[in-house]
Amino acid sequence: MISGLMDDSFSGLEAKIKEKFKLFTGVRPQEEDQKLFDRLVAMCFEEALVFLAENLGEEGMKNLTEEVDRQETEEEKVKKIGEYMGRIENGGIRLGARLETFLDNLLTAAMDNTGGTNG
Amino acid sequence: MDNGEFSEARGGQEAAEARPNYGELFTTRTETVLTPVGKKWAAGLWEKITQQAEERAVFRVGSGELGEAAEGQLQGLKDNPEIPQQLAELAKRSMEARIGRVKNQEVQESLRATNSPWKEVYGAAVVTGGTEPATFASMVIKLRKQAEKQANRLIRSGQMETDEVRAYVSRTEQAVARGVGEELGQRPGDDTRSINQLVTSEWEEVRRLNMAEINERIAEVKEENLPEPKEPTLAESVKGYLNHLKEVVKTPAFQVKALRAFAVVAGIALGYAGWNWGEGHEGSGQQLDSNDGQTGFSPMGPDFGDVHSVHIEGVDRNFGGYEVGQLAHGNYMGEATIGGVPTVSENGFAQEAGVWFQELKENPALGMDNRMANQLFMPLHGDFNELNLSRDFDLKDAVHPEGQGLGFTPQEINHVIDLNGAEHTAEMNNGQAFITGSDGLERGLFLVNIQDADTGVGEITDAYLRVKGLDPNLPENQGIRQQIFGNILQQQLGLTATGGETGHGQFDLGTDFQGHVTVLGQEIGGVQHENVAGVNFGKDANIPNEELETLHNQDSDNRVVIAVVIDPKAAVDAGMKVTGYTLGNTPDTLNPNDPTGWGARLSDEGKGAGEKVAVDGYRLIPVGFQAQIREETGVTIGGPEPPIVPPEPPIVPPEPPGPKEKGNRGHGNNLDGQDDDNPGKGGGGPNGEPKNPPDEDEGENGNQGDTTPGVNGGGNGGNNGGGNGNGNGNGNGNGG
Repeated sequence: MISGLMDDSFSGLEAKIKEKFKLFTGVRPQEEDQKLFDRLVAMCFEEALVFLAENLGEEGMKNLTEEVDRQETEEEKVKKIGEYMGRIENGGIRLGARLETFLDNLLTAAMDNTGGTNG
Repeated sequence: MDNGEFSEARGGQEAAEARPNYGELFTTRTETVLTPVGKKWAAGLWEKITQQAEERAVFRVGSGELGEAAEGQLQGLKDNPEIPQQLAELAKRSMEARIGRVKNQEVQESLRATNSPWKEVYGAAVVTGGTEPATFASMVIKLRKQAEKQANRLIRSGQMETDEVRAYVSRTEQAVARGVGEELGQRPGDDTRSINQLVTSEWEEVRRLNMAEINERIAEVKEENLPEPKEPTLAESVKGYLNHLKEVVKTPAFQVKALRAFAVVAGIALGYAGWNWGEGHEGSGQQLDSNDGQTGFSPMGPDFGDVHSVHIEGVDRNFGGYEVGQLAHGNYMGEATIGGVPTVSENGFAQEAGVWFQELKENPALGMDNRMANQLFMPLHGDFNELNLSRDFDLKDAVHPEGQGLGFTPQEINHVIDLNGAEHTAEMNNGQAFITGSDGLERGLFLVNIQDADTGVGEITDAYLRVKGLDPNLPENQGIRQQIFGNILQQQLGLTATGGETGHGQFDLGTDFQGHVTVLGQEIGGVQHENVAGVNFGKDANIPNEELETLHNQDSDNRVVIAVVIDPKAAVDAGMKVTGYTLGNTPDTLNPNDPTGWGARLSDEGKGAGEKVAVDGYRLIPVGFQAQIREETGVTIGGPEPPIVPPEPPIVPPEPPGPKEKGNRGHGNNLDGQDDDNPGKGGGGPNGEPKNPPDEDEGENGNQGDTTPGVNGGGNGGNNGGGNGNGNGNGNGNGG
């Protein structure tokens, strides 16, 4: 049940990444797409951390960092970060909008990098 | 191929898809800044508005319906160089609201502001009979529709395929913005004619675009072409933490996992949290004019209504607001207030716990949020094999973030709560405070005044001993009770007696202890409420002292919840074998340096060589010390009306027992059970004079007449009966 919920919740973001960047559509080799996908996820993750930092402030980040450091496994660390994420008021809506916009920006900037069609 | 009307083909998706692509308009990395392109776009928008108005005006003038005055007003608006910038600012605010930096309400206020450009725009629209630019969003959509029109023409003429239209529209919009903006950026406030020319040329360019080319461009996006995000403009100290966290989760697989975890706890569901950009559009998410951004989709549970954070500065991010929301949403807790601070009644707690349980059953992910519910209901781990919730309700252990709970059932909570009701103390004294569950474990749950937390622990200890058929007041049982109590007080409340021994059950509540108790390395004095307050809130949460005083008013009924599970199967004299415990909702506060993070692991390390204790294998887990903090305003919380329950009276102490019966309740005193010189509780704290006259039973209960309320140290005599002297908490002060 939990895993399903997680998958469903994340699939929105995952789908956005794939759709915006036309990943896994046969345009590029799958390996390349996978790399691209991983990097985009990493950037989204980082953006989520920025979001976290903005909302927690210094003291909150200090506490979080200390708690994360005390966790032994990566899974526990992730869980701990998730706990703090859950404490942000309206965190879901805000982070969702934030990441969507972030992806928009990335795409636009990426197209500019390719020489784009921006005329 | 669909050559029909594009807008029709989009159907109900129109609202979501009509949103502009903000990619080029704003940077949203760490700061919402309207980019030059965005500013230009806003200028273009303004141009469109004035253009439309002008057309209408010309028409109406031609019809004799609009006088020179109106025409002059229109011209005045067009000549106002500030309006595009104002529009840009408004757009920026809208964007900030969208990503949650400001609340929608603030944007609304901007709209209402005297100098809001929209008032002028709207005025122009009314005067000229032009379109109604009532909201920023509607203008965006109108602009978009113009692009759609163009697209539809192309579709009909066979120049473009339907599936290309969407991207075309998007590109058109951006191109318009870009073209207009560049010109305006170079020459702010330039005349509209040159802007119009630019717009026209950009449209022409877009029209020439081949969508296949656009797709090709997107397909060319490779990893190396992805831009590096700008460095966040955060404070350096925060950046340091941020960078550290970035190092923590580096592998892609775990980053995906992390985002999934965030999705669960934060309720991210892109596609659900859509933004409704204006009137007349179906949207599934927030609306621009919604109250304060709280009405969006949230799969994680009920809307907490007006309860959103505590008023105490500095704690809402740490735990306060969140916990309060969790606690308050059921409306059952916090129904009584003492001195304006909500507190908890037994009935309220039982009802709320029932709600939690149902929520956990329906959506175990909630367990990620509600720690108290987690600890109450989630299965036990470790030495306990009977996981009743797993067995009975198919709840998955993995849900529990800390990996262990107490395995209560609602029935068990109701049972012990009922027992702890009005006749709370008396019932406990009858040894009925525990219930044996189907798993053979004995569970008790207690609500005690926060000022009497240690007394409460003492009562729990005594109650359990009675369950075991042991009289806690008999000298031969003192060692046992002290062992138990000492563990709770020292390990779980984090109190250390510098003057006494730190091994479990061996600290001395004598003068040294009362005068020199340290919590988290800070000497704080006695053992009473000020310590508990300090442990839970005063140290890490940075609650100002005056607020602490409010929360832990010396006579308040603010309650703490202590839940206990004891495994009676653990053999007597097997040694102290506490497998683990968690520390409620403030573990980091209590044990910030504990390497295990959440909770701590006890062992028998502190047991003296050769010592045997009669109760072992127990597991004492305080669910949490939950100050029921809510906004001072006392706003009504959304949800069902709470039952009207009068404020809980202070727990009535039992009839003062004889010296033996009172015993050492609430203190882990000397192992020899002779509490001769120990005055029991620490130095009193603020006296509760009005409600709590000094004890009459000085000789029995000790702890009287502290003339220096709130100060520990002196006056440590008394307590002939070895009692803690605090009774149930209100006879503060130390006996002399």
